[in-house]
Amino acid sequence: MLVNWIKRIKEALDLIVPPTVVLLSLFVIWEFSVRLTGVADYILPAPSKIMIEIIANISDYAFNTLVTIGEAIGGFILGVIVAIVGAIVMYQSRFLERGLLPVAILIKVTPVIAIAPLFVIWFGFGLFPKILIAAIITFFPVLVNCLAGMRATSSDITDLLKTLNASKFEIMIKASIPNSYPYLFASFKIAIPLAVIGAVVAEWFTGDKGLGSMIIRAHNNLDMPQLFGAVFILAFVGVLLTSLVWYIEKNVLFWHDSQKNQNKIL
Amino acid sequence: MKTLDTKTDDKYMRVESLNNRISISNICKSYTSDLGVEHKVLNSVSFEIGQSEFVSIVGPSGCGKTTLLKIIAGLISPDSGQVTIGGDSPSKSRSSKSIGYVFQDPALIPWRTVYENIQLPTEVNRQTGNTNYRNTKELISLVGLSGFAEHYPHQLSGGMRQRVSLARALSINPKLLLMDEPFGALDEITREAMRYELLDLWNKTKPTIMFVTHNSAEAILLSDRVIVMPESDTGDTTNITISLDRPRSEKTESDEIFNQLIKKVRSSYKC
Repeated sequence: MLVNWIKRIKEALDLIVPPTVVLLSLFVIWEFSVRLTGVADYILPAPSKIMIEIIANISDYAFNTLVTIGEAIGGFILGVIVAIVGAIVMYQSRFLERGLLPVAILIKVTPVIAIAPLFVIWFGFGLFPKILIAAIITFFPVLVNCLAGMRATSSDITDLLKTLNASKFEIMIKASIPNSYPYLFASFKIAIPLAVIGAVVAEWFTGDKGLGSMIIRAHNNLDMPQLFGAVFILAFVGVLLTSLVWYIEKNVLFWHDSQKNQNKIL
Repeated sequence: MKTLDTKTDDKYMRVESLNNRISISNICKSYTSDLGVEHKVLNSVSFEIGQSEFVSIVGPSGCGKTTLLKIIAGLISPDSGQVTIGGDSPSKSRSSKSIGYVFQDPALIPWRTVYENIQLPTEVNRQTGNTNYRNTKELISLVGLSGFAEHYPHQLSGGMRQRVSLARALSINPKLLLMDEPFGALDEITREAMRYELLDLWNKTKPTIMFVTHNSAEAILLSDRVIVMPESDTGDTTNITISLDRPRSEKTESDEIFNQLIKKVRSSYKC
């Protein structure tokens, strides 16, 4: 038991130590270059200044972080639900796929930044337009992957179910939908940072809450420590949410080949 | 096209009840390739199989063995001809869940345990009248996988996976068990062991078996009768009755008759 724990801690350290060393070295180089060259704060603040800024206004950052995470996750969930429903509908017939996929592509290729101001006019300054933009960004990769995963079901398994006269619905529930899980998780890993970007971009245009609005405010005031503070936290949020997806994936997809050579830490 | 006669004069023929015969008559099937060339895979194939008979279909690659099995299972429909299983059409047999199918690939569902995989056929198409299911636990021990019920396919060896696939096919107590080169992907040692295990299973559960292989020795060792499919669409199928004593064992393989039968099967390949 104890040996097992020591082994796990060692494995964890093996994973955590190398990136930490590299990141810390980069910060040290940054800190010293700023101090030695005497670059002004409004151009590039030292990491220590950014940390002090974050700690000094921690409650402010915490509140805005929660707002942005809430919008991103809300949009992500909405986008995923619509995408999966869409994939199931398109899976039913090639006709529906040919009809609906171009619409999905149209939504995808339209730049979100171009629609964001429109959504402000339509939906106001609340959370909804931000959730909607995060959802639009999330929607496409999830839809395409879910459909590909359902279509990739082993033909032997579907043949077997057909020899038992299983209905189309039963084949979908027992085989096609679970078969798409590895594809879905691959798309989640792409979509979750995109959802955060969507939420931040939406905040640039509207409202006064969230890390995106904080960035705009800091930019207007030339308050670089605050701008960098928000950027640091956004990066951290991205890492956190992506790790969460990896963690859930590892537990859901224990049966899939992709999990065979994964580190055991997450 | 003649209907191939079953030699009834030998004492190894099983008792056949007429209502559980499988009858395949004048099946034709052709495919059109992308280039528009029509390729005839089955040209008026006919034969009959008695209840609980073990029949192997051998023939060169591309002679339509798999197509024939799929037609019998109702997965594809023939251009012409008729299949009846105990008097029923393939689609009726499907809806009463009386056909078991084993593929070359075990085709297990990776997110289901051994137990859940074997249960799969009983979970679908519940409205059927057939509830004559085998007990999953008993099946697991029958195929020698006691203690592995909660394992997932990725934790099993190739031979074990194919045993699960076999147990899954038997779970619905099929009238007819279709096996499409089930041991083709296994290593030689496992393959030999699996043959005797299959014979043992067949002896205990007695489904009618149609076993596709391109290994003549395998076909002879297992079967009551070997049907050789012709290479070209103009040839006829050849029927070879295997009059070797049962139960069969390694001894059978060194039998003089066994070797003669292999020669006979091989010579009928070339027609």
